[in-house]
Amino acid sequence: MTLLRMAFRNLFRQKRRNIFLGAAIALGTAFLIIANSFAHGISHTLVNRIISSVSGHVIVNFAHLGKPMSQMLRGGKHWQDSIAQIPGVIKVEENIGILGRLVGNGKSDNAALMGLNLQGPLSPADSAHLNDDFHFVAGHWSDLRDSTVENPFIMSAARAKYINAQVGDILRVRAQDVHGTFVAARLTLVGIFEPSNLFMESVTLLNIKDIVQLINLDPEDSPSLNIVLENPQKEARLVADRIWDMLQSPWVFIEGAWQHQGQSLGTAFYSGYLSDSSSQELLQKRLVGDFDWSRNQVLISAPWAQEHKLAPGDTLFLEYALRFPQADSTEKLRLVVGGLFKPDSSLPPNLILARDDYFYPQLYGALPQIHPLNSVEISPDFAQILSPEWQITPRVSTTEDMTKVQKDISQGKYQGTAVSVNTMYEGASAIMQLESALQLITFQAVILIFFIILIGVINTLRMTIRERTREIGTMRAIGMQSNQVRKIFLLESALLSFLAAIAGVILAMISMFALSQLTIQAAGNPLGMLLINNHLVFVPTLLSITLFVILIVFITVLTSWFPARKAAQLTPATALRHYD
Amino acid sequence: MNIVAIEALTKDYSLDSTTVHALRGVDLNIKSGELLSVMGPSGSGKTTLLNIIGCVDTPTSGKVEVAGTDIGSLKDKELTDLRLRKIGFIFQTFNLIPVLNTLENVEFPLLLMKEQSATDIRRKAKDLLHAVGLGDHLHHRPAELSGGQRQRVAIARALVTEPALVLADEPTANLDSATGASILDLMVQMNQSLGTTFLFSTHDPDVQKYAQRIVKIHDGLIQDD
Repeated sequence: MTLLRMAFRNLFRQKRRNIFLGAAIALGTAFLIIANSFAHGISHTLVNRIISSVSGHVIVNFAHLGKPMSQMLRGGKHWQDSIAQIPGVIKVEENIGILGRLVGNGKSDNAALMGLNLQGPLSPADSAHLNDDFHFVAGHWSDLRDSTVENPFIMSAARAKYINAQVGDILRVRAQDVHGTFVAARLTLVGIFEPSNLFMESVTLLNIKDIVQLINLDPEDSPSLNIVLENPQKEARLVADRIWDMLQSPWVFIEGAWQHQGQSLGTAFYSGYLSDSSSQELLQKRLVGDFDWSRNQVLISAPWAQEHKLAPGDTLFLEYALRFPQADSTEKLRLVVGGLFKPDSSLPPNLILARDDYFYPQLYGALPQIHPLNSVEISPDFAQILSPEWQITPRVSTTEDMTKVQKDISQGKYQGTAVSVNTMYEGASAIMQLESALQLITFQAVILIFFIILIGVINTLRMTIRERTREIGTMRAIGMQSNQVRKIFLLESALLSFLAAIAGVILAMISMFALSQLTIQAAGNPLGMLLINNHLVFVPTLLSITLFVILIVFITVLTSWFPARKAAQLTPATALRHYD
Repeated sequence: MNIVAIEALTKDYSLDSTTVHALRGVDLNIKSGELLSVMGPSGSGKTTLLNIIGCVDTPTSGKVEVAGTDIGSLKDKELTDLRLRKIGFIFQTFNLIPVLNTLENVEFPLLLMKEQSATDIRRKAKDLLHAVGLGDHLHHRPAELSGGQRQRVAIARALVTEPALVLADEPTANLDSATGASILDLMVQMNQSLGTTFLFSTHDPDVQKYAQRIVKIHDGLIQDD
């Protein structure tokens, strides 16, 4: 206690020197906290406001028939409920976004049409969120619910001005539906808004139910999904991994009645084989006789061919029951035999296989009922050959890997529906890199502070120790141990840096408050995405501030250690002989 | 009983390239309860002798026993402890700790000892300050006191641990003669009332009359005892 009291009082002996050093530490601390809170603010803005509203924390993307623009999984609707059950998931939103051409009054423009989920009553938080995101110049987002208007939509003031459209105008849109067919529709402009962030400027928003109709999505199909999490930073990857595990595809065996030349062949199974070279090589070894890989002909199992006396060139008819019966409850297919193969014991002996690019369009055109065989274990050889119902892409952890997967999809590597599960960290890593860049500034602030402390503290302590050498001698003569002398100097530094750091925290708080009051007009400037409603956002956290204060005190004490030890090692006689 | 026993003590200093022989073979015994004065001109080795007896400096050769302990074999920590418990110091320039007030300066050695309660320490320090005539200046900082008052505080600080030996290096050199005389009176009074051994150095012949025993030192050797 006495040492602490002495250390505290000593601070006031060289007031000017300590005030200068303290001010430097306080300024450094303030800079550190402001930089860190700004970086936090950016990630807060990006994670909680933009990413979660535009793409979700976890993104499940479907590329129907391997086409990146055709984002749907046939018969995948039920997965939305299963994903919503995963702990930590707040909501699962359908992500329907298509590119189309919007024709206005004398001008047309490419438009990203996105669905806004307005089904059922909105929570007050969601409404507030929408009000925050859009400042309406004319109309309102709630007008999207107006069922008396044909396909109501809203757009930003800048886009509306560009195509000369006003509220009430009816515009035509041409876009591709989920099946890749071009469709046209009439849209009614019901709202014009000033976007609160850059991302909202370019989107054209429709009620999700209208866009579902526009793109001809069947009720049992699922568009790509945006999943919003409670705690994205902690859980995004875990939840993504779980969804990925959940979405491992079953096999698909279409069981149906087969006919040849009007004769029934009884029931047999129809499936696909992957067309990549390694699968073909494996299958080649199982062929009986020749087979022309390039033709759209099927392979039939040799025992079944033998039983029914079938040979290459024969035409077969298959009829099977549908998973989602509509007007027709069965589907009929015509297939031409191209060759024979030997299945192994893990497969049914009556199996017909078609190449995946031939098989998948038939499969998705009319989904068959789910057969128990779909979930049996298949020998490793055939597991590499057979087509699953959809094709899940590998989980990736870097943007590079994700880009590689996307490239594979766009280059046509997947013939079935390619299913990818990514988190925003992989997906939006360019944006996330901005946060890392800002964290780098924080790191540089740490280095800067370290040097301020290093130079300031060492100089100050050297002067102080020289001035107090006789005093050190006196205290040592009276009976103070050398480690107590060291302690008194370390305590002095710790106190000075602690008080300065606290002053820095207060300074940072005041500065951040003042900076966040400024209104910044950044329309059209990419830096505008760092703003929310034209204001800078700072998110200081108690944890990081506490850590910074501890870090600064720690650095100071560490820096003081050597001068303090030097003071402690002075022999009392030397110290007492010292004259200024 | 000897509180200090010195045999053939020498002390050399290196000063730039030359060696200064500050003490050149000193033999000296000091009995418990003595009031002894070491006299000699400047540079005669008085301060060096006091520093070695006070365990703040180490001998070059010879044997020094203080309060029955041979200080030659002690490590820094043990020497510091010996100073704290057995020796009190009074300096020519008072050497009070400027950030502590009168009372805290006197309490300081006892707080370092960590043996008594805060209340006991405070009471003891107050009693001593009353005894040296500073009962009204308990909360003054050293800078607010006169030279004589500061030296009284230093005396109280030296005595508060009830040491076996108090060393005073030219305690009156920075004081006017009247104040110096009162300080010496106080030391004599304390020596008589508490029985504490006092050893003080001086170059002022007028001071001799206060001492029971006078040791004259010249060029690092004792000339007259």
